[in-house]
Amino acid sequence: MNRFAELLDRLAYEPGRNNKIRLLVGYFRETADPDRGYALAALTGALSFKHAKPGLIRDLIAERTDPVLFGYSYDYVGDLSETVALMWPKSSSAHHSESFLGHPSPHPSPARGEGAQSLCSPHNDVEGIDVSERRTTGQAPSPLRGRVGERGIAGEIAVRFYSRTTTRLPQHWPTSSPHCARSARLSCRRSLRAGWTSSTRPGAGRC
Amino acid sequence: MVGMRPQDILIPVPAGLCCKPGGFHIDPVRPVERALITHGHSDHARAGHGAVLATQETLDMMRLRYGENFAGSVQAVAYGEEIRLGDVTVSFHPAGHVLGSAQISVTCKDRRIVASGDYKDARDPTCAPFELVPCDVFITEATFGLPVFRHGDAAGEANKLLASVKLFPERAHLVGAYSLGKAQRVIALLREAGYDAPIYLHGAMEKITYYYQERGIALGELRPVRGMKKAELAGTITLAPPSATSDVWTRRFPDPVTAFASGWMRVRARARQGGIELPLVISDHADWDGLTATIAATGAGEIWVTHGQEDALVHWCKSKGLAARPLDLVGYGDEDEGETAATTGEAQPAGETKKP
Repeated sequence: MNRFAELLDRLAYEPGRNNKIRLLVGYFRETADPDRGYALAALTGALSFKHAKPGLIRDLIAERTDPVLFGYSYDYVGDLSETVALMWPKSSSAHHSESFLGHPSPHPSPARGEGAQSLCSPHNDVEGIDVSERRTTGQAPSPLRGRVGERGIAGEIAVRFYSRTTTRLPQHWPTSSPHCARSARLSCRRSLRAGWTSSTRPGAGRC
Repeated sequence: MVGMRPQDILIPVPAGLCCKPGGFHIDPVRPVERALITHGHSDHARAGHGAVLATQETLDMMRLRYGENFAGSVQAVAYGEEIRLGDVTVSFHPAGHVLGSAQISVTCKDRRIVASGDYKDARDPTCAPFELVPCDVFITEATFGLPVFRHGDAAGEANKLLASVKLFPERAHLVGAYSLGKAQRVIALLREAGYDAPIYLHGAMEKITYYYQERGIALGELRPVRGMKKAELAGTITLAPPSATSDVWTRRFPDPVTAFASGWMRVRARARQGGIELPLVISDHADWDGLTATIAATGAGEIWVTHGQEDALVHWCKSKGLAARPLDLVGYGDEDEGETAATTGEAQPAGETKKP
């Protein structure tokens, strides 16, 4: 995810539209699945982080840092999530090259892919994919196994809600929600504009 | 002299840190009779003192900046060499900040105070590595004295720049960097990352960078950017003082990507403020982890904290049971900002209007 964070930074600082597109093309070309899939979902608004509320983030950082130092830091940086991200204690070993939540992701599979869940009920959460929820459905290896104490903030939030969410999980991952359809369309449009060939385009042949 | 307190040895006065029993000041901001200088940055090394004691490199840099007559008399000191001044013994030790930078140890009776000047514990291919000097009182800077400042791996930042050059081969990359130390470190990091094309220099960078080369620091092929055609600068990297990257001077470059190598780039608002497109977190100051690790390692029971975020670092020291207080020293700039005044003068030769 560090590469994705780098992309977001570059996009935020780059004023030119064509240059932004070049950055996106570069990212999607060199990043492997499933990370670029998560990235695409994040960029098209298909990911929701409904549990990552300021109150929770404050609680998490309060458990880990001196309140006075946090106060000075927040005062200087001016943005809560940025302050927390910068202050977050370093893990004892580096997982920089690893995938989302610091754990290897499952290989893409037709059972999990776009359109696999055709029986998606209309009342499903249209906010889209929440990673912590998805992980608990049992379709994918749990990212929460082991390595306690080395989690990043995303992992920590996932852990916080692990037990709470299991009881009220939607039975189907809402892959055919309007949002997903929209992101698939967007990805098609963007890849065509960017001149991908059908073989290098992410999700080629599926949309 | 029995029962001497640390403040009887070194005390902050308006001119800087004063050693009364030794009859000298450390990094004075006003002209004094005898000055000990930690390193060549313009906020620490000023012209007009009666006598200056510093490392050979620092003296050379002062000469490059201010001309031959920057002080009444000078004396070069080697790292580790002990010199008796009045009632105290002083010695200089590598600070790892820039070429020739030193911490100054002042010993009176059996009490040792180390004034570290600016320092970093991170690796730097362009200067001697920081040396830990055990002491009773440690005077630390606090430029990046907040736990949000963690500089990370500088080599990774150099790779970020090279990846951008590869992605935008038709654009020029303009890297803002403090002309003494930072610029040369960025060049050395690029060389270590395998970049062997010529690197271009803003006029204000030339003298000091060539001096680094004279001192045996390998920086590869360097060229002045002056006189280059716009089209020829596509796909190249140019180093310039921070103030120049937002100047009309940048119009000579094809669609430049403005990068800035500084520890401040860790905070987004700071990067946005400067209109930076590619922030590179490369600093010549210790980050939060470096400051706290160094303070603990000196074994000092008392910490004096100067220029920067004193409050947070003083708080940290106290929470670890160390006596700590902020030193009210004025006149020292933070990274890159102390540069502005100095570069406007030096930048002149780079201007288009320069007469041959």
